[in-house]
Amino acid sequence: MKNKRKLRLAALLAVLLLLFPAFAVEDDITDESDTSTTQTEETDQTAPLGGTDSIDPSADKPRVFDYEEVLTQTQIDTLEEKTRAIAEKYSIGIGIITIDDYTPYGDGAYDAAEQLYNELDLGASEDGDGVALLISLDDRDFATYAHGAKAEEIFSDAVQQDLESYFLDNFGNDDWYGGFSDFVSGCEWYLQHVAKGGEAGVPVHNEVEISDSTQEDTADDSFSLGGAFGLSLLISCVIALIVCMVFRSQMKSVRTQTTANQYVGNGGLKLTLSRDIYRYTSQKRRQIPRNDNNNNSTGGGHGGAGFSGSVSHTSSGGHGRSGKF
Amino acid sequence: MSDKATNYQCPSCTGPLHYDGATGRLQCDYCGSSFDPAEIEKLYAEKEQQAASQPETGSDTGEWQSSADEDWGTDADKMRVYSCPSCGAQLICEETTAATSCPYCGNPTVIPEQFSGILKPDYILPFTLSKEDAVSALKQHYKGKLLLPKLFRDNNHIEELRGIYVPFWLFDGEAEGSANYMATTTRVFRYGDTEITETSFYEVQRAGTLPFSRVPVDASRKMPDDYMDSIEPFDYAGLKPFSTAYLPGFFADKFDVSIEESSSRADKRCRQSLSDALQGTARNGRPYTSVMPTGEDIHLKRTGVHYALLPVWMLNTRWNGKNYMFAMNGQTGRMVGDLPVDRKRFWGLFAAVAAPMTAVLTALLYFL
Repeated sequence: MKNKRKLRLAALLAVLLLLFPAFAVEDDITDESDTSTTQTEETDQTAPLGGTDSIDPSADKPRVFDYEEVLTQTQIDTLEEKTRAIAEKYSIGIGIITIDDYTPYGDGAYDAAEQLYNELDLGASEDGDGVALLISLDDRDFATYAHGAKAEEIFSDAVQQDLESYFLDNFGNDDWYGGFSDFVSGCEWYLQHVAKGGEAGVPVHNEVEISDSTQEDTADDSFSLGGAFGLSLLISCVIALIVCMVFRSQMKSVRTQTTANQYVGNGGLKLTLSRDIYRYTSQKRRQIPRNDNNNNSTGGGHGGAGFSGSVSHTSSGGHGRSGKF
Repeated sequence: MSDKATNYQCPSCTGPLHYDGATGRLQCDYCGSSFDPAEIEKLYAEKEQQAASQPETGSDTGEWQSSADEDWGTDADKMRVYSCPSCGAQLICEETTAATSCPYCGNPTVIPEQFSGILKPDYILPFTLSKEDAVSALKQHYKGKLLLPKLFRDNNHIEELRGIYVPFWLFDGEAEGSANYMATTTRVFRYGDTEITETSFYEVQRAGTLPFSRVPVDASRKMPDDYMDSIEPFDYAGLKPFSTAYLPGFFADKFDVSIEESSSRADKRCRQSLSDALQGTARNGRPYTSVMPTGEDIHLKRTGVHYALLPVWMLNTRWNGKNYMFAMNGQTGRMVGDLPVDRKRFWGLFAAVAAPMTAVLTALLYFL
């Protein structure tokens, strides 16, 4: 149903583009409009986040703290710009922290993320809503921490786990900027998803949409349709070719015989030797990744083996996840 | 070499006789009489004995005369000229021709000398299927072929249809050999935080013998080997001791590929069969994950070779300037022959499958 609505919206926009080019282009650029029916509907949908009426004064503050200097200044600036835009639009702070060792802050990376989130005041709005990603490089630990009612609702444990699948592969390859960038993009996508009426706290695994997340809905839809068509065309062509080759093979019936199985005499094969001799055994061992950070924070979390063996945490101020990369 | 030929004639009306596969008897085209091949064979054996005791009388005995003094230049060794005892026409035949028909009077004719002495086949498998069966089988061969050009199907006229007794060598023998394989079993299990993949290696030794009976190899250079392979198998239960009485009405050639030349094809097939059989014992019913051959030594022991004439219908058609040949097993009716592919139909079928599937898949992927 949602996709049909998207299609209708895209069709309407296309008609508007044809009839009133200047008007439509303006609508595409700006998200808010009092005159357009469709834009009014979108504004209503973003209302629950409460970030579109006025710019949050807490939005304009640093949220990237690269203590380990794994990012270049340009990368930091880019991430700051993104997090600032998100905070302005959705009143949710996205924090990024790199440290060398979590032990001064507590028993694990999650404790460090919780403590530093509060100390660095990474949240936005009066409630300090936000979500932070911390990496501790010495032990290659990471933790995500969501704080504030709104942020905790959107970035549920399941959503945080979903986000891990986007940035952990980058961290695994020491691609720090790529990981943080994917995390910010993923957070933005979920905020946008909820703003458009999507259910908060429910993971939607869609890597393409997250990595190409933009402000324009129509662009997402067209790419999705194009992708579906391209993939379908490819699959169909392969299947059609197989079908055609099967029919083509029927046209050829002349083949040289390679065996004489039809002329085997009475008794068939007589085995005169049948010996199976054991020679040796070789073993290949592979260490199964396991998270040794099993101690839960206050409130009793739960954990499970995932890509990095990450576990859930719940504390009085928020909740999050931690693990290794 | 004697180049006499026999024209089997009806004892009742002297009309030409031909062998009818459906009844297994020689039939007269004129008076409709039919005779058992053994009966005619006996009759002609007596005639031959009488002819041997008298001076040659040429066409009076119903035999063809060769023109040995004709000048054929370099092809002389490969050609023979006969005079038809019925109409007197001079006919040019290849040296291997053993049964044919006169293109002028149509009389079926046999040249028994091609099958005398050491050249005499051990067996003959008489035709059981007629010319009409072959035409019908060809139409059946076209059925269900979506990519066959419509014009080929509709306007296809058989240019030539011949029933030929093709000379075959039938090899008896035994393949004996041994083979070694490296086999593995794989087990994956966990021990604490460690996943262990354990692979056990085995040396597998197999040796054995595999007997073969009457592996056929066509002994005619004119016949394409792959076509003759493709119409196999023949039901050897129908084999009969050779008699020229089965030949009238059909074409026949004597062999022109020697046993030595043919044996390599039979050996290759027997060797592969034993190789497959040995490997099968290493794979089937064994717990191995993989079996890789590491060595093989196979010898072939030939215990006998038989010379047989086997029935084949050969059909030729022509379309778009290209010849298409079909062969049918004259006993079982198995028809083979490659058919042309209509490019338009090929790509039409491709589009007919791909287009709706793309639409359905796109809808499924996008909306679900």
